[in-house]
Amino acid sequence: MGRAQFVVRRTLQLIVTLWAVATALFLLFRSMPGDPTTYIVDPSLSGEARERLIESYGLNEPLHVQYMIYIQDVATLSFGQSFHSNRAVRDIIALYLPRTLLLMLTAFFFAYLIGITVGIIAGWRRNSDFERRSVFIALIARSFPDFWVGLIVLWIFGAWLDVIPMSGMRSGGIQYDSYWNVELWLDTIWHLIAPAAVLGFYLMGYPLLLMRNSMLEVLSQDFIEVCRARGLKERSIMFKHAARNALLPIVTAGAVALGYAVGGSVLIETVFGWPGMGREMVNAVLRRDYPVAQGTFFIFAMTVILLNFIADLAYGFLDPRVTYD
Amino acid sequence: MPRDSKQNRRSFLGKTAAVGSTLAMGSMAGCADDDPDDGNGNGAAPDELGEQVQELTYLNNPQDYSPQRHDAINFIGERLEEVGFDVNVEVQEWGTLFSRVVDEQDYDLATWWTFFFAEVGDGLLEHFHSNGGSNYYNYENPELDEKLDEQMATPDPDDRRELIHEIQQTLMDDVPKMPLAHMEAPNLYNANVIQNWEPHIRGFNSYFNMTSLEVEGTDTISAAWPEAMGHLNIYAWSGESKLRYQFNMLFDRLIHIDGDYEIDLDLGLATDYELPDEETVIYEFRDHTFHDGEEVTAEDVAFSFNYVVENEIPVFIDQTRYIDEAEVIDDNTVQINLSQPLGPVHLFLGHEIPIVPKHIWEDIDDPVQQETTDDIVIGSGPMEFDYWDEGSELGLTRNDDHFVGVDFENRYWRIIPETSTVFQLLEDEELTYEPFGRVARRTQELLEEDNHLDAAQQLSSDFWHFSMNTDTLDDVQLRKAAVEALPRSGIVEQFIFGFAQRGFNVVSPAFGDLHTDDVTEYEESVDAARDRLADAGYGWDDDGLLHHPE
Repeated sequence: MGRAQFVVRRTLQLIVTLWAVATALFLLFRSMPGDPTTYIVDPSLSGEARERLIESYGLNEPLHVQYMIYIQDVATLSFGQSFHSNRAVRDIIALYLPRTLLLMLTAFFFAYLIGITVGIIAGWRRNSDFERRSVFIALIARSFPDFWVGLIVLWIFGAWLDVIPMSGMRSGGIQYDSYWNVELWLDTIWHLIAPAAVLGFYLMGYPLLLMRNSMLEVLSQDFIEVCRARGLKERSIMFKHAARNALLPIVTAGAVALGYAVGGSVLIETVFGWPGMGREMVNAVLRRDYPVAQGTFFIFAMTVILLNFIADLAYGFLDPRVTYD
Repeated sequence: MPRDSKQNRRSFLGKTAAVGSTLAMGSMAGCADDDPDDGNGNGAAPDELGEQVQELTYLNNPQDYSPQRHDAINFIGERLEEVGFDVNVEVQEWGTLFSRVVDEQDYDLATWWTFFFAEVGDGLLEHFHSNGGSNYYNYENPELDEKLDEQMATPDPDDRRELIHEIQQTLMDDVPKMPLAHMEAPNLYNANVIQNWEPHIRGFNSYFNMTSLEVEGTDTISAAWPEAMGHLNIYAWSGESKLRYQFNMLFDRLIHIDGDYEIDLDLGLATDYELPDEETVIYEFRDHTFHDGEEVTAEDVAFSFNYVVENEIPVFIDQTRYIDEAEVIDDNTVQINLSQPLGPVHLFLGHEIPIVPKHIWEDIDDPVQQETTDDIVIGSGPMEFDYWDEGSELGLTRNDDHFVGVDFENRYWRIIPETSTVFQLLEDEELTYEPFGRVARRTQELLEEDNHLDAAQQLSSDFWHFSMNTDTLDDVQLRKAAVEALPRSGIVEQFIFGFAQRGFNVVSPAFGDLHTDDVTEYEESVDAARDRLADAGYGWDDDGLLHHPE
């Protein structure tokens, strides 16, 4: 099968998968106990008021009618209107997604930059103190829950030393007229440092260990000896030849991790008061805000599926031995 | 838990209770002959007993949703088992729990934090009338139904008060619901900045308190709430406190109540009122302007009442049952024609319906579905909308033209989900007050420390309730025995850290003279509960389980 045929076949599979995901989400949320008014409405509000709200959400319609409306909304990527905020779900995603991506991609960038680099060196310097310390730190990073590390960081650097802000993505009581205000960005970066560092520390362990293992495998292959026999510099062998060949598993891991970045990190967002997508997704589920929950989870699933698809395609470019049969 | 181990545990509980009962009754020699269970609950042989009282499902929230309440429910469950009830404490996620109780009535016992939403008479009607929308107890008492209907239609305050007192007495005799604790939400505040606060039934965040606060050393006060506002549309509002506290400041009402639960005409838009007959109320109101500079006219006031009726606004749906039409009498007078007599007309209508600008809302087709825009937050209240960074922060600024006003220039609320961060920011003086009223050990610790924090602790209409499904607990003696055993004082001290008063009446003392102390009192005693059941002919088997009279 050629590359073009592979792309067409995978695209069709992708559409069916997305439809299945959308349908599963619809059924999943509808099968959860409790109607949305239970979560949105104050418990002291009367039964009649709750019934009126159910009507206003269209939840009195038969399930198949609700499903058809929902599928139309998914097809147009509008996802309907939030029960909780009355806003279009598309607008809610547009509001929260960039905030989450700012946090997640910053953490992701530094985690993979540092993780891959240290992983390459650790693999290269096998059995050295550097390797042992690197692996130890990676295991520590993966073992300690990020929210716990976050609380410790807040306690030491926020409450005690007072060098990082305690919460939010900007200082309180200040209104900026434009998103392009320099002070706003400096303020945001100042608020970003702690949550991104904590998240980055946690994420770093995975690419570090993966890269180290991959390097060890590549370094045992004959072509490394050939490179040495050719008199290439160690640095050149390590980065240009060994690391490039060891990078393939990282591409898959990175693609999946990037997909998950869309979902944010609910714990880090909660600990650091970062108003992102992760918190919004969880709150939407807890509130039974079906449109927002369905919309955000669908975007999340779609991103993971698309990035996996792109990773599959990238394999062919990165490794000429990969075929599409 | 396997049945055998449960039975063994019951036997143990029965025996420990028996020891307690025996000791307690040691000085009552001669009385034991009249006690069918010989004073220890284990005396009657099973073949002399009726059917076992069915297992009671007590729904509990997860530990992380409300740790104190979760633990308190487990504690109550154990106390009820000591009485002989077979209690199954079932943990359910909050929404499921609420739905099972309120929608399906698939429960026997339930507890959560609640309050009467609008007006106490309406709250009683909604909860305890046979046809009440919130009567999830399945409680029926035709005589009480008549009184509940009557009090809502009684305009004379004294007559109505008498009826509400009688209703409380009946309810505390029939006990479909029992307050465990009348809450005193401990809102922490920076005492260096806030120099006073005025107790009010609606709490620290009430219009009354916010307009009474004296603020020193800053123009801006700040607070934190754990979850985002979501929207700022008063007609899409579902009664959530976080929005109530904003709308209190943005929108005026005709009537407001003071700290003594009395109408104070200096606080609201209305300067006078008149009740020409049982189905008519006339309000005169003061000259005032909306935040956009437009005058508040009689057209606006009448529109505000008619609008909630025409659009069947969910949060005001109970009010719409009583409003026929509002009409303009003159520039500063409106008349509200009622569809049926309404006793608490000022508290139920004048105090609840927000006055909104007609020129903004008249063009909005579906106010419930309306998205938040800068226009729809325009009211005439003591504070104006300033900015809203959704998910992060909401800022209000002072309306200098307001007839009551506030003593600070700005107020902003940050969204901070992490409780420990809120406490730290209060300690660091980065937050001025804490509007949520967190009942927590840390609150208690901060108050005991030598710092700038104080708590606006006041009795409110909020309470933790203990509700029973009267379909299962259909014998009032069973319900009374359960209530008798409730360790209310222990719950207040151990689980609410003293930030409450022991519950004893569904109508809190915070409701002023609408509340009465003259209701049946229940001991907090397992022995008293067992004695009551024994007197009613109930008995216990060898495992200490309660059986109906033969």
